[in-house]
Amino acid sequence: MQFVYVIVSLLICFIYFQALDWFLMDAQGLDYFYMFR
Amino acid sequence: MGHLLTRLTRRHKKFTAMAALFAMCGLLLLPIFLALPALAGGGAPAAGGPPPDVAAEQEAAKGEGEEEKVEMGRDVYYKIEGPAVGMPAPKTEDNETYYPRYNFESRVLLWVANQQHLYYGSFVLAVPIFCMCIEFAGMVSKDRAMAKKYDQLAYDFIKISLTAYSLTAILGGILIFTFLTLYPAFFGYLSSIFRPVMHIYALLFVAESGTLYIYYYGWDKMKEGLMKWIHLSMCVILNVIGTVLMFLANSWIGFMMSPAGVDEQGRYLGNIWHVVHTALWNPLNVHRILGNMAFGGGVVAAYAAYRFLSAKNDEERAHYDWMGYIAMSLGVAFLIPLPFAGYWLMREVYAYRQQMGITLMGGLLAWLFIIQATMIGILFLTTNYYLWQALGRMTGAERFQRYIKYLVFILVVGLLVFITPHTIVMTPAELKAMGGQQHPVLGNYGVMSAKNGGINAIIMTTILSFIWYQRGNKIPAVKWAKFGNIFMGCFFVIAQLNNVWLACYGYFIPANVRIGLSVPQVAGTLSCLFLMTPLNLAMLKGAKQLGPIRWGQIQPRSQYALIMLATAFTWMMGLMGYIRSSVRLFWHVNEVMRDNSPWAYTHTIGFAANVISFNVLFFWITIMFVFWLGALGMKKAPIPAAEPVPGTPAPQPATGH
Repeated sequence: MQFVYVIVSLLICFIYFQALDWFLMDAQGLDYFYMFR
Repeated sequence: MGHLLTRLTRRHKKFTAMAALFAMCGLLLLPIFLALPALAGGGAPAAGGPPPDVAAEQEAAKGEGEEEKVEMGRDVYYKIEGPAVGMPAPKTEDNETYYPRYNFESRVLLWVANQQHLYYGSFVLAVPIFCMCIEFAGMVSKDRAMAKKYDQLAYDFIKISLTAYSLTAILGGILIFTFLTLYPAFFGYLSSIFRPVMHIYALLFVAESGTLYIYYYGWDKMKEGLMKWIHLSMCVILNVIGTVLMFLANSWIGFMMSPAGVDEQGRYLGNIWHVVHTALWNPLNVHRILGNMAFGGGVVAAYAAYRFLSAKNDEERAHYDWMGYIAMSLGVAFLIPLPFAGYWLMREVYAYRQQMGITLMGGLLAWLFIIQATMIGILFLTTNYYLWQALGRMTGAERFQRYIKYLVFILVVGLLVFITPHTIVMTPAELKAMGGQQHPVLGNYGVMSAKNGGINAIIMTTILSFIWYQRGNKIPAVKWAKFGNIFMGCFFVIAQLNNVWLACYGYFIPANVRIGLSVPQVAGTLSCLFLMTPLNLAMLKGAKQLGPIRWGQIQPRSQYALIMLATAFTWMMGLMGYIRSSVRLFWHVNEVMRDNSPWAYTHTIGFAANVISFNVLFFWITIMFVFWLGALGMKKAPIPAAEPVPGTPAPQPATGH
């Protein structure tokens, strides 16, 4: 169960931070994925 | 009959308090009412022009139908036209008329007077705000002994601030006289523009004094029920006045750095709001209020540390240990967002004049910013060190000790990245030895993208230390504690990794995209603060207590850390004041009024550092005197040496002051 908790937590946190990064860059009119295009 | 008298007295007290409160509100609004006639009609007569009655006479004398010629000017910042009603900025020369002097550098005299007034001003702004928080905490506390303890602490705080308040006013007087006698042309110009603002400032000062005295002397008379809430409301009013006072003073330095509301000759264009609301006013307001709070917390914590170290018994030691912890917590709560406010201020400086930003961070003053980064690192390291020491006064906190070395590693790496220099002023020989403006290896690291990552890693680690401290003697007992712990751990790990990723990503994208990365970096740190702290508190509801917090049983070296925290903060405040002021270079008012005194050059870093150190030393000697005065006649209040633990007898309530 502990393993499941860790995986779920890591997934939630990773998605949260990436979404936060993208949203705040987009709000400034900047492209978060600049390097990957 | 006696009962009736008691009721009458109580009613009488209530009426007096209500009357006092309304009187204070009236005083608070008085400057606005007084300023209304002057501000009506665009405020033209209020500053730089003739008074309204004289203007009316002049109008009448001209006769009807005659067209009046008003020269128009273009606002240097807002870029709009307006009637040039003020006089141009004086063109000064290096002589006794414009710059009267002693056989000493006038600028240094003004520097010391200004810095001392600012130290005390920020102290007396911060302490009543702490009082408000602590008194409120006491009023909502269900534990009567703790409520009494909080109330006593707030009273001790305001008692110290009362003496400091008088000293602030004295230093303000010295500052004004220094301005008038050594820089008459400049001060005359500034006061001609800010005339209504300066009068409102003076009236607010009267209102603040009145409120402070009623708040302090009414403490014992207003300690029950509704009266206590009215007493707290007085403190709110006091703090609103204090904050507005600071905002008004900030408008003067904002005008000197980034003038607005005047044309290129410095003629006032009739809109007082434009003069006050310059490009840097709001960033300065936010940055200064946070800085003042952190500074005030540091000074009070140092006072408590000094009293702890000189305490004669365990009871006193317990009280001052607790007082130091509360002051330090309040100070650090404002220290955490302070770098973000500073970053915003610098972004606004760059947006206003790119050259000014480069002078600060990549030119003449860049080395001072490296010193500043070192001081910030010292502040956060010391805070963490104090918290780790404070774990020692809790039963059960030993379980965190073995993880501290990992936090030290993150803090040190973050600090080293944060203090790496990039562009510094060098002699030609140094430039040749290094092989260019940037160091071939280190030059790659001292950029803002990496530095932001460094400071955010430090702040996140400090937040984690706080969360550990909250858990010191408790074990979460909620059903979801296991998932909560794992989630919190993962959140901090991913937050740190995301921070490092953004810091590295900045190297691969152009500068205009890179500066945007600072926002998600800050948001990541604030997420740790505003999501994990409440989560931790939720997990600790009904937590299993491992033992009491043994106030007073802490290593003395922790108290030296508090003193170091306060001293480092005082020094840094002096340093940043110097940087902010000297970035104007040879201008009194940037690009509007030139400084033609013999002291318009920028000092060497060594000389500036010596004056800053003198200011710090002078402040601490005088504040020690203030503390000594506060300690005279202070009655001892017995304080329970340990927090009550369920199942143990409650401590005896403390006596009043």
